[in-house]
Formats: sequence, structure tokens, C-alpha cells
Amino acid sequence: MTPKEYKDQLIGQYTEFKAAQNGRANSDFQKQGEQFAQSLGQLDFPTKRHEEWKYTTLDRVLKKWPKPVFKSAPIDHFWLAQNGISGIQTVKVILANGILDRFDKLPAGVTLEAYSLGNQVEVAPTDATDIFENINRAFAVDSIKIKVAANTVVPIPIKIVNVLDATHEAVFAQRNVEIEVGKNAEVTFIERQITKGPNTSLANGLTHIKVDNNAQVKHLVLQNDGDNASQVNRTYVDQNRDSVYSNYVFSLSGEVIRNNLRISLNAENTVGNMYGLYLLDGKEHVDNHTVVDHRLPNCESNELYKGVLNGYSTGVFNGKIFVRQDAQKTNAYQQNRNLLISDHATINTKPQLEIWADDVKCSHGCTVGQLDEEQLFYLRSRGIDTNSARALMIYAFASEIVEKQPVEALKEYLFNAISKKLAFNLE
Amino acid sequence: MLSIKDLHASVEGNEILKGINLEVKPGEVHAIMGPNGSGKSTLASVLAGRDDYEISQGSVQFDGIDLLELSPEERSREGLFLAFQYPVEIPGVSNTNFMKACINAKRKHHGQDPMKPHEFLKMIKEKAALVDLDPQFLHRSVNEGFSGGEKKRNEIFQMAMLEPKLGILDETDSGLDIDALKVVSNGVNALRNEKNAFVVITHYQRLLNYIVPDFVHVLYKGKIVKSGDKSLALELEEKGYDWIKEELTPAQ
Ligand SMILES: Nc1ncnc2c1ncn2[C@@H]1O[C@H](COP(=O)(O)OP(=O)(O)O)[C@@H](O)[C@H]1O
Ligand SMILES: [Mg+2]
Repeated sequence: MTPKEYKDQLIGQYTEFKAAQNGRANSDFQKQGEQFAQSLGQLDFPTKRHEEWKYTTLDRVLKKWPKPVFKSAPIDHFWLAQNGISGIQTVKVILANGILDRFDKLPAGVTLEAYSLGNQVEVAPTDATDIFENINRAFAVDSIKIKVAANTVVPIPIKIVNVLDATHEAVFAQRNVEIEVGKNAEVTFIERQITKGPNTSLANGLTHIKVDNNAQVKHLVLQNDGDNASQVNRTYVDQNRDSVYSNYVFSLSGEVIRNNLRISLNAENTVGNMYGLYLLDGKEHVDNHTVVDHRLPNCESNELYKGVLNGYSTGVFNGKIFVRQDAQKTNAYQQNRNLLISDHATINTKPQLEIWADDVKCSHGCTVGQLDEEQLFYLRSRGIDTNSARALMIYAFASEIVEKQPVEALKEYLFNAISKKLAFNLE
Repeated sequence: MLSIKDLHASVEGNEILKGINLEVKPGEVHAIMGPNGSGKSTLASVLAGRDDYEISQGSVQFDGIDLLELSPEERSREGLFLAFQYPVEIPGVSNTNFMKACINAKRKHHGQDPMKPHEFLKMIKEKAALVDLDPQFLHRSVNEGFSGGEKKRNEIFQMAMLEPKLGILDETDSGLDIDALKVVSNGVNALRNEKNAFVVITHYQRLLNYIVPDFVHVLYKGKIVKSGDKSLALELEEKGYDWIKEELTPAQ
């Protein structure tokens, strides 16, 4: 199955999809969606000829014919609890195949709306030329909006878990989410996807986050969904005056992962932070494309992505910093560091700076290296075998990002996941 | 305990050790002195198992085992310890986790269970105190941002933790002020007993006032050219190395 054939089938399935929408096929939501379904005719899945897709292809996922999901699936809550993150208190919002399933009692000041609850919500594509955003909106069964009212300090993290059901067949699910954080509010979100069943899953997320004046948002993304799970994520962040938004993405397992994160610093004195850790093995592929757009003066952005690549894995980092003419006194820092621990792994890393203002402080850099032989020998000379010494060093390299993320209780989960991946136990 | 016979080692075709012979018995302290570039660190590295060197000839027995057959980690677990001349920094690995991994690797090698956390904690505090290291440092990354003196003290601390049969100290004294030198020496002396042994590589006689050796050897151009007791160190301090070079010239 070529991507073209896949797309043609997808278009063909739209009628069936529409019919399955529970008598709501003629709602405004679905009518809007239908327009995006129609534009799929003119769009194609990207190939290596697309500048933004030079090193990433979903061909191997599409070949498995992930079927677009038309409806929710019952969640096995026992299984979910077992595979959840223990020891951390959160407000859970659970989606099944991208469709709202249930949510915990919300803290004061937090509200949740959903198309499936009868609310008028939707996230429309920001980039109309992007096939994934079009598919997302066309095949979205639901749309969810979480609002944090002004001056609300949400005491525990809000966790959005998307459960995909690949028990019987390969699936393709859309997640359409908007988050609005009011003035002076503070909140932490944890986003996670988890697939049940042995088949391929492909999740296509479109997330829009609005951060109002002086709000502080921390956003953790946990990608640890196993070898058959792929995801494409579009995350757009718009920041207002004096706000701080920090994104932390941990890609610990997955077949093909493509993350697009775009932070727009739309007002003065805003801070945007982007931290990432990818730990790859086998034939895993992770591609992080980030953009930070400095539009006005006195803003700051910090970016650090670290990667460890083993086996035949491949990684891509593409980080763009735009500093517009008005964005004087910008501070923008970007770093991408990689450890290649196998001769067969590859990383393509590309920083891109476009600066039109003259009074700015910008720095960027990328490194690709191997484990340091002197350090290895030092550890071995104290009795630690080669494999453990390597694991200890990789662990150390990765820990910088784990330490940066703000949820103390998640540290253990992350360190365990890393140790497990490295088949290494510190205790 | 350690028996080195006619050891030759080279790097990229250059022979650096040209027939070393050395016998170390339990309870002994041997000092190895010699001018820069004579091969002291090379000898230490070869014993610790660094694989940059080609051993073309000779043998090393360590407590009846063929040392050269063992990997660096096995040598360590069998009780050999090298305090490095230039300890490396390992960012992100805390001293505590590092020591836990080392000790438990050694225990596993000897068929013992991992050390109990409270025992470990007690031990690590005791040994840190032995070399006057601030307990705060235990949480910090191995050698990262340590001063030269702190790095050397950390080496002795690690040695105290691992309780080796044979400790090799490669210029642990260089770069230390007199107070740090005393701390390090006291640490080593506290570890001395009739079952273990030390090889102390140094440039200066000064250290040997504190760690008093049973034997002093002069390593020159890859060979031990002179051996004696501690008075040899004093003689070297007084006269330098030239007289030894001169003594050797007619023979060459
Ligand atoms: N890895 C190496 N590669 C090349 N030359 C080396 C290496 N290690 C040591 N040497 C050389 O071997 C000689 C002895 O060095 P070293 O053992 O460090 O002496 P010392 O410790 O007595 O000052 C020097 O000439 C040094 O340059
Ligand atoms: Mg030396």
C-alpha cells in the first residue's frame, strides 16, 4: 500500500465515517469537518522531497493500513490502572480513541467542554496545507477544551490520557484538544497516549494552547507507547504578556514519532521553554520539529533536546528560532545534544535561526558524540562492567532532562523507564 | 601478592616499559620514583588494564591469578585499585550511586548479596570522614567541579570504600598543599594492614615522610634501575636524578 493508495482509501472511507456519527452527521462540527475531508483530494502525504519531511516517513506505518476509528472503544480500566503511572496524584481526563471517555472531578476554576458533551468546540487546522491537520479535523469524532480560569492555581497536574484500542486491528485515531489558561493562572498538564492490543496504532494530535497574561503553564508529554505505536503531533502555543510556557517531551518508545511544536511569543516579556529527551533503540524513529517565534521585545526562549540513539534507530531534530524585527532584546538559546551508541544509528540535526532584529542574544549548537572512553575506563577500573558503565553514563546524560521536568513524582517513573530501556538497574 | 616479571609494554610501536621486575608482598609499601616520562603512569595503567598498551613480553601475577588475562572490572573486583593521576569528571553520575554500583558489583563477583542501604550509608559517611570530605559532596557528580585536591581525596575515598588488596597511587600527592597531603596520607595509613599493600608512585620525597615506604624503586626509561629503602628517596631528593643517569651511562 503506497501512501497515495492509503489516502485514496481514506477519502473513500469518509462517507462511512460520517454515517457512523450517531445522527450528528449534519452538525456544524461535522459540516466543518467535511470541508477538510474534501481538501484531502488536493493534499498528499509528504515524501522526502518535502523540506520538512526530508528524514521522516510514515510509509512503514501506513503500509499496515491503520483504519480510521469512527467511534470510542470501551476502556479496560483495570489494565489502564496497571499500566498507568503509579505514585502520582493527578486529575485524569481519559479519552478513548481520541473521544472523551470520562474525567475526574475538576478542581475549582477548571472546566471541561467537549463536542461529545454537546458543546461547540473545535480546533481548526492552523496550517491548511498540512495533510495531518486536515485529516485530524476531518476525522475527529470529538473535540475537547479545557479551560483554566484567571487567577486559578491548579494544585495537582491535569493528565490527559488517550487510550487507543488496537486489539483487533491497526487503528488511526485523531485527538483534537484546546487548552486555555487564563490570566495569572498556574497549571501543569501531562499528556500521554497508551495503546492496548498488538496491532499498529497511529495517533494524530492537534493541540492548541493559549496562555494568557502572566500565566504559567507546564506541559509534559510522555511518549512511551511501545514498538507498534506511532504518533504525529501538532502543538501550537500562543503566549500573552509575562507568561511562561514550558514543554517537556519524553520519547522513550514508539515506532515513528513526529512532533511539531510551535511556540509563538506574541507579547512582551514572555518565556517559552522546550525540553526534550529521546531514547531510541531498534528501528525506532523520532523527529522533533520545533519553532519558537519571537514577535515582540524582551522575550526569552530556552531549548534543550537530548537524544540517545542505539541499534538502527534514527532521530531528527529541527529547531527554528525566528526573531522578528520588533523583537529587540530577545534572548534565545537552543541546544541539541546526541549520543550515538551504535554504529548503525543516525541523527539528523539542524538548527535554523532567522533573525531580523539587531539587538538580540542568540546561541545555538548541536553535538553528536559517542560515549567518552576515559570515563568508561574510569568506571570499569572501579569494578563496573562495560555494559553497566555505558548504561550509567547514558543515564547520566539523560538525567539532565528528567531533572528539569517539574513533577517530582514523575522522576521515578521516568528513571525506571530509562533504566528498563537500557536494561540496567541502579540498585 | 604482586609479581611482575620482565614486563614489556608499548604504544603504537614505541616500547615504554622495557622489562619491569617487581615483587610486592602483603603488608608492604613500595614507592616508585623517577623523572617525568619514565613510564610510571604507564605501569599503573597496564596494571589497571587500560587497553591502549600492547604487552609484548612478561607476566603479572596477582595473588596467584594471571592479572593480564582479566578485564579492568575483574581486576578491581579481585582487589586492585588505581588512584588516577588525572581522575576524570563524570557529570550526572552521583558519587553515591557510583559507589553503590561499584561495591555491589564487587560483592556480586564474590557471591555476596548487595549491601544493605543503611550499612552502605554508614560506610560511606565513615570513609568520607576519613579523608575529610564534606558529606555534601556525596550527592554531587563524580569529580565534577572538584578542585585538584578534592579529586585526589575522592580517589582515596573510593579506595577506602573498595578496600583493595593492592592500592596503586599515581602521583596522588602532586598538586596538594601540605594540609591536603597530610589528610591523604592519614587516609592511606589508616587503611594499611598486614594483608594489603600499596605502590605509591611519586615525584617527590615529601609524601614519603607521611606514607613511609618499605622499598623505594627508581624507574627510568622503562626500567627499574635502582632499588633501596626509604633512604634512597632522601638521596634522590638531595641529589636529583642525574647521578643515577650517570651511573647508568657507562653500562649502556
Ligand atoms: N597512550 C599513550 N600514547 C602515546 N604515548 C604514550 C601513551 N602513554 C604514555 N606514553 C608515553 O610514554 C612515556 C611514559 O609516559 P608516562 O608513563 O606517563 O610517564 P610518567 O608517568 O613516568 O611521567 C612518555 O614518553 C609518554 O609520552
Ligand atoms: Mg605519570
